[in-house]
Amino acid sequence: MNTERGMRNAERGTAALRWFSWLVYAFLYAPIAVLVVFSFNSERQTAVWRGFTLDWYRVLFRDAAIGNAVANSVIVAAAATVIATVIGTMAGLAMARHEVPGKRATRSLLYLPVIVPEIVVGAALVSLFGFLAMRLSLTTVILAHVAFSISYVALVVRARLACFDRSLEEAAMDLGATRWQTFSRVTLPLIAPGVMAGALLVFTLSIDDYIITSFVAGPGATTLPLQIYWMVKTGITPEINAVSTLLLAVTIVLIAAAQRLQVARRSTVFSDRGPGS
Amino acid sequence: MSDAILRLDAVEKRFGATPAVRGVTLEIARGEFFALLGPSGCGKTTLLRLIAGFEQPDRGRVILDGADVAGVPANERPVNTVFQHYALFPHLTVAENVGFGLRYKKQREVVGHPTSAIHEMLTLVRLEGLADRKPDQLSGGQKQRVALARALILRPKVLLLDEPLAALDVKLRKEMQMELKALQRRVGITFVFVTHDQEEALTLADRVAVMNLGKIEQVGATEEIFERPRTRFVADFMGAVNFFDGFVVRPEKMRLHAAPPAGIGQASAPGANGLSQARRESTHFPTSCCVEGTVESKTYQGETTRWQVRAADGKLLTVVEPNDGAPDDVSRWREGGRVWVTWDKRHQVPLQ
Repeated sequence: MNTERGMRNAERGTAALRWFSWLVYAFLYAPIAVLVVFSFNSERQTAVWRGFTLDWYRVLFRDAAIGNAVANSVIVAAAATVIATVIGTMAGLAMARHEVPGKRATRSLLYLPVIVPEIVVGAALVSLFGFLAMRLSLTTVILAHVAFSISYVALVVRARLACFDRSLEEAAMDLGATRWQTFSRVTLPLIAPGVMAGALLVFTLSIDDYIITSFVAGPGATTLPLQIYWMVKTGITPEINAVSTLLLAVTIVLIAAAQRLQVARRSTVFSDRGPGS
Repeated sequence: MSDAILRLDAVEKRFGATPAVRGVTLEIARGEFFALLGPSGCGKTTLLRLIAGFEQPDRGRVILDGADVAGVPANERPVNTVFQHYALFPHLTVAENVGFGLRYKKQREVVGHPTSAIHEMLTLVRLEGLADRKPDQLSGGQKQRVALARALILRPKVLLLDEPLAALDVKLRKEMQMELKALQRRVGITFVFVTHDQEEALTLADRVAVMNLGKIEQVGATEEIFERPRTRFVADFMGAVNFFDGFVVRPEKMRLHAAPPAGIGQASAPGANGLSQARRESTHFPTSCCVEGTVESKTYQGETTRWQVRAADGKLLTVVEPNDGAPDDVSRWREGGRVWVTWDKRHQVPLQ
């Protein structure tokens, strides 16, 4: 009897847990689902499903303001990605490789931009640019994006280097390669997946950043998130749903690619010598 | 030694406060197969890295083929290294790994076309068919051969090997030992290798330097190191574990007897140091010593059996008897049984 009731309780518990999980997922994804679904809704005014259409996407591609915002976003994201990836990779290498005085402090400092509230970063950058008498423009947006994304690249690259077999570099030097030849022929190809993952992360962070960008964007430097926000203020339209859906798709693809790269080849690349041996 | 390819002159190296190499002076002859043998942390790997150029000595000189290489970085020294875990480039094929060094200036002699040089090298190490494989598609022994080919293709004046066989399983290790030795004779290059395995050092090397605490304890031909260890450390490391005042006896040189050996008899009560008085008059045994004791343990090892005998004075002796069906009734000796240990005085190796 007792065990039977115990089992029934357990079953009931499992079922409850299952329902709870579904509720959480619904809570998380329902808004996104609504957004995506209604970007294909043929009815403009109400939130009532009327029928499938791609009209809003067509409208989108004809909208000059959105086109301009997309162009700006891509310019900013591309520039920020290249600059932050180069600087972040060098920072990651330096942290992983060199015993510099105050190493722990610099490591903590590098984590800081990841946790400092964006609103603080934005405000700080505006005052800095003001102090330097720099006019707010697309350039200041790029600089701001570089500033907040270097840390992410450095952290990803450093993680990649944590399980890197240093004797590979010694082997290259032993075979006659200089430091630079060793870096370009051995180190860089082996950490490339980490660097690429960092770059994709920067691109993703940059393309959908709103808060910091809203502080540092000058006239004519409207990026896509700023444009969407501006459009929302004048009322939700299916175009917003459509452009958001596209942004979402791009982000998901990039994040998935970054994750794949971070785990990809690690098993084969480092199989010669496991970290534990 | 007149024809030294490598000379170390009072080399010292410390890491922070820890001395790793403490005044090592050593000469290695051209074409020699030389072993640096010692327990982990004895400084042997540091010594290898000092020769390779990965570390610079704090004091002393490294002289390669007559030239002091102080300050010369690793990528410009005429030596090459086979790393412990091979350090093959995982993103390159076998052929690309082997040809890696050909484009740099360390390769001074013209070896002909790179492709044919690579092919020649792969043939030498019997990997002809695997040129396009990636390192992770190779077995341990194959990786080892790629590492050898990659280093030997540059015709180094000295090839350095860091525990070259440690990562292989026992059977493969035996095979590779033979192969490595044959390869060294064929290419005629000086090999200097680091190992903690005394048996491997004896099998491979012409001469051995036994290291302890950053110093060389003894250098000599393998037979000399094995048969005539000069210090307690070397004797112990080479497995001669039966220490007495001033000398040592190898376990396989000792014999066990179920009864007091004739000619020695009851008179051979252990002396103050656990030894009986020397008696050479026995006709049955060319034995000079006898220690009475009890069997403490017995370990069957296949070809031999290892006995631990506790002498009357508390000293523990190790005796290795061949399992060859000797006349003595071995099976009667059990733990706690009374036995007599004898050895020929010729096998007493004096220690410093």
